[in-house]
Amino acid sequence: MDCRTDEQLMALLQGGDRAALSELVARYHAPLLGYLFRLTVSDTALAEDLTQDTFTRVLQSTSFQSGRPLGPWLYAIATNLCRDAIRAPAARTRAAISLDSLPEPPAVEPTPEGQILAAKQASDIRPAINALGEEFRVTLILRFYQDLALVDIARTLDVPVGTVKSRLHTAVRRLRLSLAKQHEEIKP
Amino acid sequence: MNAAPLPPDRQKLTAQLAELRVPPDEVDQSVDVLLRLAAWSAPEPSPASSAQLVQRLIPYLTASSPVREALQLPPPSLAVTVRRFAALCLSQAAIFRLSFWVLPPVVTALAVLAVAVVGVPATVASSIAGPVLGSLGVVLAVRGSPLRPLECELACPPSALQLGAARMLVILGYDGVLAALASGFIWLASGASLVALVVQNVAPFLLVCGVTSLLATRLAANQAAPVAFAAWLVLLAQRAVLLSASLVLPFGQATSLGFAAVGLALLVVAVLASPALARASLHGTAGS
Repeated sequence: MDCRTDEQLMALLQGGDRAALSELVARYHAPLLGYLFRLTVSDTALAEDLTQDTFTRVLQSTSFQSGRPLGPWLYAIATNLCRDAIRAPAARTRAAISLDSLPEPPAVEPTPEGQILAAKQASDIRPAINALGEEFRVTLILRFYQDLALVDIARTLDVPVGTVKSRLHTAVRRLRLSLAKQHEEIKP
Repeated sequence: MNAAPLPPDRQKLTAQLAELRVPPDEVDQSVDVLLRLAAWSAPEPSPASSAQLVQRLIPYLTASSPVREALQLPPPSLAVTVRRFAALCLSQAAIFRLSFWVLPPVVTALAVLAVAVVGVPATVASSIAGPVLGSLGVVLAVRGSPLRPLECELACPPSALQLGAARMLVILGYDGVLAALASGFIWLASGASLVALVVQNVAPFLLVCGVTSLLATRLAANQAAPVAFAAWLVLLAQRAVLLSASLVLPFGQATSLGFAAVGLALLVVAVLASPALARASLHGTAGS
């Protein structure tokens, strides 16, 4: 078991330590990929590219301040890269394709019925989250998928904690209303 | 943090909603909605894909660098900075050639002897000895003349400015003191005003030293020194011609102080310009 803090890890990385790089990837590869996958609305290829870009930026950056938590900094870099990528025309096309085609998510249930149900629920929740608007979507994903504390979300997005709470409150309410509306439309 | 779907944990979600001050009558419905988030699962990277990612990132990993690590340290106190700069001056003094230490005292001694023994007027000796010291100081402090300021850059990449300043301090400290000493000896031999002699000796020293240093940013130091010294002689000759004097007449104190100020300013400019010129030299653009 490794008990190095993120700060120690960054100090080793800045000294060119390969073991520290492996450890950083082991710690943050899955969370960042998951975060970017949802931020890009299930575009796995784009999410993988952006995950690599995020790590690359971390290695090239000299702006990490010791004492600052690493997680929010990583998520901030990932968020900014994703914003830039989505604004780029090529990536926008890709994101639009992903959103429209809504590819099947990986199986989470062992039975075919379970797979169908999960896919159905995912296909409901995904457009609902995507319709929230960027600032609400990012905040919601960081809180309920990435399990970041409110203060860490505030650091990531560089906004006050009060703003994070307000965005989450609004996001949950909008999500609830959106899903309720979907439910009403499905009803005969 | 985990990319896997969140386990359905009603209690945790309720607590999280309480942080947001969601009204009690909306909590149950909101929790139901949040429980559905787990349906949107994200891909989990395999150990093999993580290993591939590490391999792709390795080229971006910085090589271990003591300089880079030092840059991240908090800035040292003023006392430590001064102590380090003094050590740098000593290190520069240690690499100067023997001629740097021997020739200036010889020039000083010759100037004193010229006044005391041969009877050369003190003004003439002062007007020549100081500038000779100034140009000698600069030219002897440079070891790789063709490199110009790039010598400092190559010797110590992160601190060409410090290195240039340290050299100037050694030159001014050693040759400047010698120039002042020469004035003292000439004063003893001639009985002229000590202050006037010091000014007449040190001011041309500073002026020629500054001009030489500035020229040395564009020319090799051993070319810059004769040019600067020749320019000084031309100035003296022109003045002698204008005033129809057969001997070198001393400049007034105000003019001499002006020379000293200009010399110091040129020294500062030369030192400050060195890092940029060295970088330009490194890319083959300076002097071309």
